[in-house]
Amino acid sequence: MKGLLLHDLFIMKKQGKTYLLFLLFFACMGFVSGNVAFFSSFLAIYAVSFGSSVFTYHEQCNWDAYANTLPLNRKQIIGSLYLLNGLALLLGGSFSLLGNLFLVLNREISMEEYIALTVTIFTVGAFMISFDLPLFLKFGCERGRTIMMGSYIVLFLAFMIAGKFLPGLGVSLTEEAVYRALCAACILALLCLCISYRISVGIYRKKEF
Amino acid sequence: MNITISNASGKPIYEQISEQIKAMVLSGELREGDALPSMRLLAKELRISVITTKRAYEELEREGFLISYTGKGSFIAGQNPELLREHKRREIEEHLGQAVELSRFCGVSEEEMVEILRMMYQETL
Amino acid sequence: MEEAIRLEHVEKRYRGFALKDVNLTLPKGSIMGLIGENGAGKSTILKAALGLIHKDAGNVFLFGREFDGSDSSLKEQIGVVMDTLSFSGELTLKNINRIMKEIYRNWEEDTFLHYQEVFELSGNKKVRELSRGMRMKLSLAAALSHRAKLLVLDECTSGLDPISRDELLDVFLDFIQDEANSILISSHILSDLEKICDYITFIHKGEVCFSKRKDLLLDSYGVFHGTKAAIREMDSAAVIGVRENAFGADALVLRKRAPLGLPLDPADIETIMLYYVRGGGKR
Repeated sequence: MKGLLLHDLFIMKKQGKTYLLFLLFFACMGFVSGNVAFFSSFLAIYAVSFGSSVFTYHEQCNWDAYANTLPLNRKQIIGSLYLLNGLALLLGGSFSLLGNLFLVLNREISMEEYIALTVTIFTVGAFMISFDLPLFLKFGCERGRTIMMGSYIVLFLAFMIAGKFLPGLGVSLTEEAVYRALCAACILALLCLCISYRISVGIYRKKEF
Repeated sequence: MNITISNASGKPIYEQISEQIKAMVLSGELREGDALPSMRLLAKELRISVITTKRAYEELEREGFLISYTGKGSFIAGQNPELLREHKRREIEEHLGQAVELSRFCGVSEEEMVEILRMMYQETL
Repeated sequence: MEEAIRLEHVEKRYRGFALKDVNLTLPKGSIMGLIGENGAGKSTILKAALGLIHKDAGNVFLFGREFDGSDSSLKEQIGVVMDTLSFSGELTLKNINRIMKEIYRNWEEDTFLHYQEVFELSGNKKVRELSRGMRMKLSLAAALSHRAKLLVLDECTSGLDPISRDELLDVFLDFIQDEANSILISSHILSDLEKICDYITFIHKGEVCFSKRKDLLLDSYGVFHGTKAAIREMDSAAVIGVRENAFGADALVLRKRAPLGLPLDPADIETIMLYYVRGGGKR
């Protein structure tokens, strides 16, 4: 798997520089504007799209066909994809972590908000990876990206609507409830990743190159 | 050792190879015990298939010109003087056959032919 | 076990095309050329052999062991050059060396550097800066640098200039110097294959028309030039294919079935293939 990871890192090097710049940009914007949630979520989305763009490079040179003639098994190939995406998410999330840390230190947001935000970014990112990777594997780059975009819009709308209606329902969020929800979200995210991995391996097994 | 093959000659390539090696043995250029290049090396150098060189060597081995030892290679076999004579005899007959045909064509009689032959032997003496 | 690769009754069905009952055997130490027109099924056969597509029927054996594309220890022993790029344009040769070192157990960096020199490829150049010929040579260098025993080459000489092709043929012949090594190469450039192949397999419309030793193949056929009537009179089992023109006809003939003493021109591989495809050839 190390070889596969190296391969993907090498080909994404140029894009990686752009990625880092954007991460910096979003982190700063979040810091400057004080609107952390908005920009942090952008970070998560961007992190995941970086990881998914590796598929474009693979498709361009028919890497999958060649990779399957190398002494690698399909689990390793899929595993390295998840690892790459995980690392991208980790990097993006860390930027958010650091950026927002300043806000906490400046007492612009509370510690609880900070933790909630961080966990949200990672879990949402994990959910997105779980959803996107099998899609890309099944439908290829072009169609996969369209479906992915569509799903993000739906998700975004859902959040907007929830944001509008939930307060009206009079649901009060106690600290403990939030804490429990976050823990549940973490576990769910990991579970989704595992299921997604199994599904991806299944899809890849049936694939022909 | 020189081996030349031609795609245009009409003769199968394996035959061209085996004949050239035979010629070298008969002329003394290749002697008993001399090592021949491996079939694969010959194929590579002449840019032909290994099967072709293999066939050439197999024919040479069948006719007693070389011996192949697995792992060691192929070597010129000790020449049976009878075999050599036989080959040379065939060659002589071929040449004489051409001369006889020519004589018939331009009306030279058998007696004249024998006379010419005798004179030639005397000259070389 | 004397075979590098063996396909038994391999079948694969697509919409509009199918591989039917493909059987071929590549003995160790030989070079087999897979020939056929575009779309005949050559790449499909190679993909089925490498396990890149799922077969509908049949078996593939690599070095005597059944192979479906998943056995990594067998994949260590094969070097593949595909007709597409394989390496992303962003990679440099140095990158590729590092990647392959992690992937192949027997990766030999020195051998890879040696081929880099022989092919005149610079280590720091990115793949997208290389011409098609140089990319093929790069893929070949990678295939030759992990002690592979079998090279599978899919149309890797097409698109190359004659000089590059000649260089590659030399490399193949060098590879074969070791009797344990074998090559399976598909190409529609027959002059290349004619020179160096030991065996020729001809694929037409998804079926194997013949798979024979090249020297026996060329010995078995001859081309007859004459009249349409003369050809009609011949034993139909002798005539493989006919090409008629306004002034007569030519036929590809099986020498041993043809009338004795019939004047026949030698047939090369391209001629044989043409008669099978355009002369209404039968198997």
